[in-house]
Formats: sequence, structure tokens, C-alpha cells
Amino acid sequence: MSTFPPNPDLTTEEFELKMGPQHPSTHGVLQLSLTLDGERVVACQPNVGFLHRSIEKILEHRTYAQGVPLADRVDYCSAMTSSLAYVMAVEKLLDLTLPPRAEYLRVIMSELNRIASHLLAYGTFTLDLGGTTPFLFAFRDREKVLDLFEETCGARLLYNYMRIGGVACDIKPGFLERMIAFLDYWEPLLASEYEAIVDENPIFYNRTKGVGILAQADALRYGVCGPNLRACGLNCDVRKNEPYSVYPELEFDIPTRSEGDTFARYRVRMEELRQSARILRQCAEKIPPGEVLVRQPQELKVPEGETYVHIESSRGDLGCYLVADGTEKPYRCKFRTPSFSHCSVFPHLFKDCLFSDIVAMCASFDIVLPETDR
Amino acid sequence: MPLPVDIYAWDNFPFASAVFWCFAIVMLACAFYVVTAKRIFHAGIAMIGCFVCVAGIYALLGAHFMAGLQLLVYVGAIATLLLFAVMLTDKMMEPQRKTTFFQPVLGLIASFSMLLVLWLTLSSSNFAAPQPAVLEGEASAINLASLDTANIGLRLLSPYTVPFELISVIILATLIGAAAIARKEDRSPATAPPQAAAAAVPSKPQEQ
Amino acid sequence: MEPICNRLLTDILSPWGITLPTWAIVSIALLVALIAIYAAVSVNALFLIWLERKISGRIQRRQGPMLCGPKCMAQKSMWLGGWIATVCDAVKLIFKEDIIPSKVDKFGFILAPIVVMLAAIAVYVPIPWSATAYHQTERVTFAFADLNVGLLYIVAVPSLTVFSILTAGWSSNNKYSLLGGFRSVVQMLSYEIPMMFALMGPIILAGSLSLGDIVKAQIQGLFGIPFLGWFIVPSFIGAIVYFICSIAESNRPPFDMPESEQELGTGFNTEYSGMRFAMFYLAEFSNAFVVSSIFTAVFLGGWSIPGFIPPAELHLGSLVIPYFDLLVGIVVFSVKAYAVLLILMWIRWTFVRVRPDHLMNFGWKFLLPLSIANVIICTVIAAVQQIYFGGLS
Repeated sequence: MSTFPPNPDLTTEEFELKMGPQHPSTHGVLQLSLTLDGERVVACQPNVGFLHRSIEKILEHRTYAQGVPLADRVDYCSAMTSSLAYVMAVEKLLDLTLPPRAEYLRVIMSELNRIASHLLAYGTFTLDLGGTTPFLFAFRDREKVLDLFEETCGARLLYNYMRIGGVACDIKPGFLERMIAFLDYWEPLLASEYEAIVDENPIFYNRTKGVGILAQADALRYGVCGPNLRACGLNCDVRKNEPYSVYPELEFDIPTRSEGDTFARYRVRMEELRQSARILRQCAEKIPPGEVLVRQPQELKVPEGETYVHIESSRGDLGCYLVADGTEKPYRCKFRTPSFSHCSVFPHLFKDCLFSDIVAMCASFDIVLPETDR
Repeated sequence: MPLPVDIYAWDNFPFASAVFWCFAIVMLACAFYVVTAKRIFHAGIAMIGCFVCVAGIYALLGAHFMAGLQLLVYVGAIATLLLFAVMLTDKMMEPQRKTTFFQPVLGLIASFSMLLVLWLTLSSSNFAAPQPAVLEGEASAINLASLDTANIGLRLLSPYTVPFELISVIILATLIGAAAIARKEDRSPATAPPQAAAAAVPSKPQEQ
Repeated sequence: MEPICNRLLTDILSPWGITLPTWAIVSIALLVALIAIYAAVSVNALFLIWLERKISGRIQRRQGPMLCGPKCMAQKSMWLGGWIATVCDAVKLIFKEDIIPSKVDKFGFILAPIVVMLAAIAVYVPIPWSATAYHQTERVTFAFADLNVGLLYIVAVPSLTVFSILTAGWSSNNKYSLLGGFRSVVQMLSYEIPMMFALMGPIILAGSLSLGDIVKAQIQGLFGIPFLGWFIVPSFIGAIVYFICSIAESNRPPFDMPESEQELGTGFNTEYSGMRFAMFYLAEFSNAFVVSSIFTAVFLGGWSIPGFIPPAELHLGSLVIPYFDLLVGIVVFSVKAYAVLLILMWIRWTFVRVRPDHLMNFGWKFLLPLSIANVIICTVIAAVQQIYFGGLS
């Protein structure tokens, strides 16, 4: 883990540097309170909470249907999956069965959102390493995914598409063809542009390989999940382990890597992009016609009880713990967010490294601060 | 090789004396500021100004190589390293330390003795005629006014080889000495991590 | 410059029977040089910023600035669009409020951008743009001043840049700026050494520190073959080392440690805005051009075309173009310099940033031994040339 051990000959006076909350590389409003010795990081303390909007508390004062747009805002870079966790929790308490077309649409949107989110992760990761060009490649294609969302639900970032009992509306005619056309255009670019510009570059390789190695045991101890855990060599994915929706009917692999370093985390995301494309192609073939929404009453009362639902969001294991008291408002709603766990690794990982490594490692975890703070 | 007419040399340059006085006055002003500046960082900056002016005067005298070296070594390396050290010690928001009474007195004594030595040396020197070069052949045409690169090179490698090499050895010794002093002495073998002991070359010089 | 200026003034004034004294000619030459340098530096830097944005746009599959400038031109091609964008930027930056944060060290804060700009302009002085034999006894280099220690001057003047970046970093009273300043000093001090060793090869081959003489030595050719003359051939390693070091020296990505906007939030110039920031920015681009010009002059034969020396006068029927070789030389030199610059830009938009310790390791453990090896190779080549093919200049 220690990539830059202290050299007693060279230690000087330590100084404190508050990196953030206004800093280009802390991905929003994270504050890293760093103790630096020259350029070597001695200790790091992440301070979260600058983006706290008390979403969980507001949810307690809104009806269940009003909660969906709020749940979107838990992770605004992957809004489809974060609202999916919420509606699935409500549906589990209601014991609803969805029309198959709705399930397929949810998977399509989740995977498209995973692509958009991973492209964002790739873009910001390379940008933080100092490369502007890969960032713009990623954003150019992310726009095309967002175009698909926009034609479906009218929004590009916060979709409000998931509904309790299905999805808000059916896809437009020709959507699947446009989606396949996008995949046909974009999938070859993964190798020819995205990976070509950084993978073989010795500078990139040296800056990521062997940097920020997270041992599997440590990863489990800190609750690391999703692509970051799979980069530590653990084949762990909610879509496979506890399949939900129509994932059991779809064929896909869970890419893993054993190194657990920054490069591995980047590679796992790139492979997941390919798997998402594979899932989307299958969905486009298998999607049945039919209803997309089981209409729910205006004043939906959820029977008393509590439940926990977790799904594989773009960032990892996203859980929603919901307690209902029989009224039209939830008694308590708590999100278990992967970014929060990932932030908690930082003090463990960000020491005895260089200041420049902080930026690379922080970006490789793909933290999203609204999700951490909620 | 005929030397090209150099307009920036003293004799050909029309405003030479004006430029000389400009450099001289700025240099003296900077030098004065070096000793009077309240903040040591400002003194460092003024010293760089002083060095640049000295380089200008060298160039004016036709000693272009010396002027270049003055810029490269004094401004580029020595003064920058000095500022670097000052930056590490001089905290910006800290109040300035007051000087004691003895410091100016000691400074005056030191500078007056320096002045005395310089005066004695300068008054015994003869600036009147350029001395003929010690070299034989075509190089003997080179006079002091055209103290250019080729001449310096020839002199360093023919008549002054031994002093030149000796100075190199002294500088090498100084470098090694500096490295030895910079090492932390209180380090006992028990507390030192093995990697640090193995890493002979510091891969991060900025931490020195 | 001054023999050409002398000749030119004499040619113009002799029909009227005016003869100027030497001091007047020298003064006019200096004045012309001063104005020419200022104009060249600022116009060129503005153009370079536009070019950089267009090149980056091309590499990143977009168009770059398109809106500032005539619409009819922008519609024809992306390379014609937005060409006054930089001018608009410059105007905006000039009219911005001049902010000096309250807790900075004013003396250093104000001094730093001025010195950066000064160094950026001063370094243009010995660059040999061209040469002419028109009405001259021998081929005269056209430079603002063909200093006989030109190469030394060119590596010495950027020291002022280091000093001012350090000053900017310290006096900004900002920890990021301070880190940027530290990085800049460390980087420049350690890359200056391999750079000087890399330039040592051409100096040995040409036997001179004057950039004009170095170009002339390349025109003579090596081992009697004119096409081998460019010093990139005998001193190939030196050319590569110099190229890498020059990127570091001009603080461009992937060696933009002092700035590194993603880590230090643009480092030493974090606290700067408006015109003071513009000075840093312009100086950076002008330095990029300077290093590619030096590369052209030292390794790519400067103004020369192998095997072709343009005539001093071109006779097109009854029309006589004087100073034809001068004009051709300037064009050839600019083409070569811009070609090098395009490679610099290509690298900038392709690579990610190097880590500081890798940078150090690369400089000290790889480039320095390589550049010393280059000195040895060049010495051998120069000796062979001297013994078997007659003297060097």
C-alpha cells in the first residue's frame, strides 16, 4: 500500500493543507484534510457533509410517490439506479409484481445509466491525471446516452423515470434501434480511442500501476463495494449474487482484477462498460410488448413493515432501508451508499503517498459527493 | 577567426556610459536594499536584481560569457536556491524579528574590512593596458577586451589546467560534505526503516 | 542585425546624399529590434493560443473556438473560425479588475509577472531567423542580436522565469501556489542540466556558442555530405533529450508540474487574475515558441534548406527582389519552428501529467546520462570531421 515510504533523511516540517471543498479534483465538495511533508502525504482525513441536503429526512415528510425525484438526487450521476433502489423497496413492502416490459425498461435504463456514469468516471479520472482529451472523448459519448434519456423522459440528469409499480412512460418508437446504433458506434471506440490513448501510455501506466493498492481484506473491512471491490479480486456483484429484476435471464460476466490498485479499478470499469453493452443488446432482443406501469392510487398507503433492498448501482452496492408505518409517508428511509464507504477508505489508503497520487486514487474510486452526504 | 564588430562592447556602443550608469545605480540601489530590507525574501529579490545588473555590466564590457554565466549560475542557481531556503524559513504572516544592536556593528566591521582588502588589491592593480596573452601562435592576438568563450576555454585547458582541476576537486568535496551535513545525524540504525537505508539516491530532491 | 540595418539604411538614404553616423545607425537598429521583438512576441503568442485551441479541438474531435470572427469564414472550415477569439480574450483580461488579494506580499506579487514577461521577451534576442548575403561581404545572420554566446544566453535567461515563478508562488500566500513554486524550481533546476549537456553536442560540432554560427556550421554539412549537416543527425540523442527538457523548461504538459490545475488548482498563478494572469499565460506560449525555435536553429538547420542556397537577389524578368535569401530563410525557419511546435501541442493534448518523483527520476537517472553520452558521441564525430574532412568553423 505504501508507495512512498518516509525517508528519515528527507523529512522536514509537516504542514496542513485543506484540499477542498472547492478544489477541482475532489469531485464535488469533499474536503481532504491533508498533512503534508513536502509533497509526501503523511495523513489524510476526509471531511464530508458539505453537500448534505437531508434527503432522508425530507423523504419522511413526502408521500411515497413524491419520494422518487428525491431519490434521484441521492446520486445525480446515476439517478436511474438510485431511484430504482427506492421504488424497489416500496414495491417489496407492497408486494407488487411488475409487468415484464417494465422490468426490462428498468434494466435498460440502469445499464445505460451505468454507461453514462462510468464514462463520467473515466473522464474525470483521466482529467485528474492531467489528460484533457480522454475526458472530452468520454463526454462526447455520454451526451449521446443522455440524448437517449432525454427522448424517453425529457431530462438529461435527474430523470424521475422510475415509478412505484413500473416506469413513468414507455420508450419512443425506434428507441431500441437508436440504442443499438449508439452501441455499434461506441463499442469499437472503447478500444480505438478510450483505451488507446491511455492504456499503453507509460506515463499513465506509471501513475496508476501499483498506486493505491487496496488489499481484499481491507476492502471488505471498510465496506468497499462495486467495481472497486471487484478490482481487489472479489467476484461480488448484487446483479449475480442476489439477482433482481430480469438480470437472471440475461447473460453477462462480472469482470474482476486481482491487483486492487488504481489501474485495476480503471480497468474493471472499462470492462463493465463492455458488459453493459452486452446486457443492453440482449434486452433489446428480449424485451416483450405490454404495459409498463401498474397504476398506484394517489394516496398510496404502504402496509406497516420494514425492508431492505439493495441493487448494483454504477458505484456499487446501493441499499435502501425503508420503514413504513401504514400511512402515506415513509416512517424512515435510509440509503446505504457506496461512495460513503469509499470515502471511509481514504485515511487508510492516503498515506505515504505523493500529493499527485491523492488525485489519481480519489478519482479511481469514483466517489460522488451527493451520494456520500445525501 | 576575425572577431565581429560588437556594438554592445564598450567602444562601439554609443550610449555605453549612460547604460553603465543605469546598471551601476540600479545595482547599488539593489545592494542597499539587500541590507536594509525588513523582509528577508525582499532582500533575496533585490540581490537577484543586483546580480542581473552585474551581468549587464559584464556584457557591456564585452565579457559575454561571463555575463551569461552570471545569469545562469548566480541568478538561476544560487539566488534561486537561496530564495527557496528563505521561503521555507520565512513565514509570511509571522512578525518580523528585530535586529539587535550588535548586528549592525558587526556588519559594519565586516564590510569595512572587506572594503579595505578590496581597496588594497585594486590600488595595486594596473588597468591601463591589456596584458598580452600567455598563449603562443594565433591566440596571442586575443587581448583582454575580447575575453570570449574560446579564449576562456583555451586558458582553462592549457595554462590553468591544474588549478581548474583542483577547484573541481574542491567543489566535489564541498558537495559530498554538504550531503553529509544535510543527513540527519540523530538517526540510529534501530529506528531507520530498511527501505530508507537502501535508497541511497533521494528520489525526491524537493524535500531537502 | 546591425550590418543588415546599416546596409539597408545606407541603401535607402544614399540617393538623398545623407550619411548617418554610426551611433545613429546603432540606435535605429536597436529601436527597430525592440519594437519588432515586442510586436512579434505578442502577436505570435496570441496566434499560438488560437492555434493551440484549434489543434486541441482537432485532437479532441471538436472544432475549437468558432464564434469570434467573421461568420462566412467559419462556415467554410473550422480552421478559419474564431480567429479573433484570443484578441477578445486579451481585451477582456485587460479590462478586468486588477485584483491584488489583501494578504499577499505586494512587492513580489506585482514583480513576478513583469519579470516573467521580461524574460520571455528577452530570450528572443539571439534567435537567428535568417541570413542574407545581399550587398554584404559575407553571409550575415539576421537576428535581433547574434550574440557570440547566444546559446548560453538562451539557457541563462529562463532562470529569471524560475525566479519569478518562485516569487509568485511565495508572495501569493497560498499553500497551493507555494507548492507550485517549489515544484517549478525543482523541475527547472534538474532539467536545465541535461538540457545544457544536450546542447553541448551541437556546440562541439559547430565550435561556437553563437546560434548564427551553429546554423552556418549545419549548412556546411558533415563528412562532406550536405544532407547530413543538420545536427539532429550526429546529435540525435541530444535532440531528443533537448526536446523533452524543453517541454519541462517551458512548463507545458505533460511536465506542467508547477501549474497542474487538477492537483494544485493552477499552482503558482492561482491568485492571479486579469492582466497579471495574462502575462503568465502569454509568457508560457511565447516560451513554447522560443524552445521550438531553438530546436530548429540548433538541430534542424535553422533557415537552411539542404543542398539549396537561395540567391541574394531574385530576378523575375525586370523585377528584382532584393533580400530574397532573407525572406526565404524567414519562411523556412518559421515553417520548421511551427512544425516542432505542432509536435509540442500534439504531446500536450495526448499525454497525462507526469508525477513529480517520476519526473525527477526521469531527469536525473535517464536524461542526464543520455545527454552525457551524446556529448561523447558528438566529440568523436567532431574529431573525425576535423581530421579527415578538414576543419570546422
